[in-house]
Amino acid sequence: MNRIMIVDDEQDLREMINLMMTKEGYETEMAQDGIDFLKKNDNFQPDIVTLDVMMPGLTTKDILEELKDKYNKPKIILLTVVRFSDEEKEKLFKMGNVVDYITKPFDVDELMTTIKDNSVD
Amino acid sequence: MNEGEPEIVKFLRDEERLGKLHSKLQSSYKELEILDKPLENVSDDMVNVISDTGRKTRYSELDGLEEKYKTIFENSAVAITLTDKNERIILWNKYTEDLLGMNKDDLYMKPVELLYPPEEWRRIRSENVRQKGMQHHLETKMVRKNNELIDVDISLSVLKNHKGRVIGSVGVIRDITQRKMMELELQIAYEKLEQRVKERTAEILKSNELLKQEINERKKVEWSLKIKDSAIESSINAIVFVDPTGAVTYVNPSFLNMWGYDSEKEILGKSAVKFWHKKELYMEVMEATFNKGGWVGELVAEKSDGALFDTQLSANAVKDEEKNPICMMASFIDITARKKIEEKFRKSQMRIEQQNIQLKKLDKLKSNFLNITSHEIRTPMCSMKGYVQMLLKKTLGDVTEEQKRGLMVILRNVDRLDNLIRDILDISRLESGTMKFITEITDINKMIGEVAETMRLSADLKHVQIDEEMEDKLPELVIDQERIKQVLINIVNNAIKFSPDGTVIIIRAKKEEENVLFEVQDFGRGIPGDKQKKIFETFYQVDYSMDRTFGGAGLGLAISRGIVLAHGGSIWVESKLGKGSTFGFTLPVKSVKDVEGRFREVDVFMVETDSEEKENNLRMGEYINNEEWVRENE
Repeated sequence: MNRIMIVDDEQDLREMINLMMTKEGYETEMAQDGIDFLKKNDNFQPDIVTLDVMMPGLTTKDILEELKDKYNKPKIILLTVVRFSDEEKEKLFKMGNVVDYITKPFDVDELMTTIKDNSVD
Repeated sequence: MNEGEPEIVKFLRDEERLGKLHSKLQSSYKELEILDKPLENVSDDMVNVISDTGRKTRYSELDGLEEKYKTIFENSAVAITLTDKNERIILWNKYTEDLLGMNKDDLYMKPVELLYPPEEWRRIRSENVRQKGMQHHLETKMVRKNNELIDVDISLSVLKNHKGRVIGSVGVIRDITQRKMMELELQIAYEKLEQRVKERTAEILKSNELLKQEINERKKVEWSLKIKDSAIESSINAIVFVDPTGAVTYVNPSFLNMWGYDSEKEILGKSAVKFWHKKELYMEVMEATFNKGGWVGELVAEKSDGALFDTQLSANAVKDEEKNPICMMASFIDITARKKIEEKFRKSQMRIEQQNIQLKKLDKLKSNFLNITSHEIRTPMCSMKGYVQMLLKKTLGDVTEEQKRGLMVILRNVDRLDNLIRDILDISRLESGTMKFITEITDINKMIGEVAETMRLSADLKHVQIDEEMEDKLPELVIDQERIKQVLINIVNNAIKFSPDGTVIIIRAKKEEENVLFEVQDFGRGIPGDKQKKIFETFYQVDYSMDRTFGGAGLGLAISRGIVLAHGGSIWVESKLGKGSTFGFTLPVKSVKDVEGRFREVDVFMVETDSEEKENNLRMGEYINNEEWVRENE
């Protein structure tokens, strides 16, 4: 069973993805910001994380930095409004853990495919 | 008979007397040693005269006369010679001997010709002939015994007997050598004098010339002094001359005007410190001028009524020939006006500085605003879209056909809204120069292929065909592929919109000099000439009704234009009503160095995630529309 953590400061969106993935048979957990995520990460130990790029509190960079030291290193799918340049993509992906990104608003199917591609099975 | 002739000559003209004398003389021949030769060649006439018996009685008469005349003859300071009709010397006086350095042997019965240089004799001869025996005189030369030539003046007359026949001639000779020499000397002296006069005249003329030149020079100098004088007098600058003691020796009218004095009388002779506000500065100026040659700077001056005003002073020392300063010339410009302007300028500079800072702040705010807006608007749409899609997929349970239709409407409109927002954000970013471009090396052929493929889905709905006409190996371009695709998609979308069913749309691409040329041709209704430029403007729609049906706010072409221009290309349309349109744009082969740099970067990581800042920025949205804020920061 795959465990997925949905990190987004938008409640509606959080719950939507949560619902979607639950229907798909994933074990889900939600977090509302970076700190919340890092806390829950140790406990829940997700395999995949959908991470909203623009959240209050810790910046994405900080979150990814923190993750490096953690025992549990889930695969991160970034949900972003902006496009990344190749340079930024490289930077992100180098930080380890980031496997892909999806632009908002996304197709449900698109998100699903990406998550599934990175799931263990 | 001429006056001034010597007596002897007069006597000698008297032939009777002469005859008588001759007889007497003859009888005395034996006594006189002059003659040692018998008179062989004495002329007949002479003989006749001699044999005249009546002569004896005359002799005593003649004795006294003879003595008299003999004395005259002998003591004369002129040479007198008598010649016979054969031109032989028969009689002469002592002076003749002295003059010629000759004695009896040299003279008696010698041809008188011998006494003259040949050319002179010829002259005498011809003169004689010309004169026909009349008495005449001329200047000639004679030859002395030692062959020395002397200049003489000769009076010649012929002797005639009582019958009128020429019996000889007499010449009275004056030595004019001296005279001649003197004449020559005189001539030389005269010539010398003339020469000297000439020289002198020349000198004088030259001197004159030089003098004239000097006068001209002086005049020039005078003129320039006059001009300088009047320049000083009429200068707008106030000019003052101050002597080393500090007393004013001259002021020009501008000074009177600037300082508010009515006449120079109030100022001349007074100490110049009176016109300065600060005495120390005045001393400094005086010292600098007289010791170092000059002073330049600003100083505060004091008018006649005590009012102060700013001036710019330029002072220099006027020097004499030995470079000693003899007085100071001070030139003032009233800089009150200038200072005001400077102050104004400084103030306006400050204002501009402040405005700049404000603008920069505003820019940042705007940039942040766009980012926030982008995020804030898109996020709700995520949920909307997500749920609708899930419902349609029946993830949340069954849906009826009617419900499905309804959901599809929602979905379509969410998409429409999303596109609209995307366009608005794009145009905002393009206009504010904050659009971020992500450039990469792009395979053009592949890119066009992908676009065509994507667009065929909607084209097929109208039975519109999309053809590709590309050169085989188009150069790879360094461009923002996503955005250029956006441009192509936008243009092709329009083409599909305006193409009647069953027509074709052609997408072309070819290399043209330093660019790659892209063209999208449709065979729709075309665009009227006056609208062909306007369609690239923001919010402009050729056909409102049509566009509303298909969605779009008239931003597509404006955005496309912005993207193309940012890449260093150009975009246009060629169209003929009824025939169709061809939209074209170029992209340079050499990438515009800094496509990203042309528009300031929007660094994703920099967008605030700090809650406080985010909160502020949210409030900022209110602010921007708040008039108060705007006025505050003017």
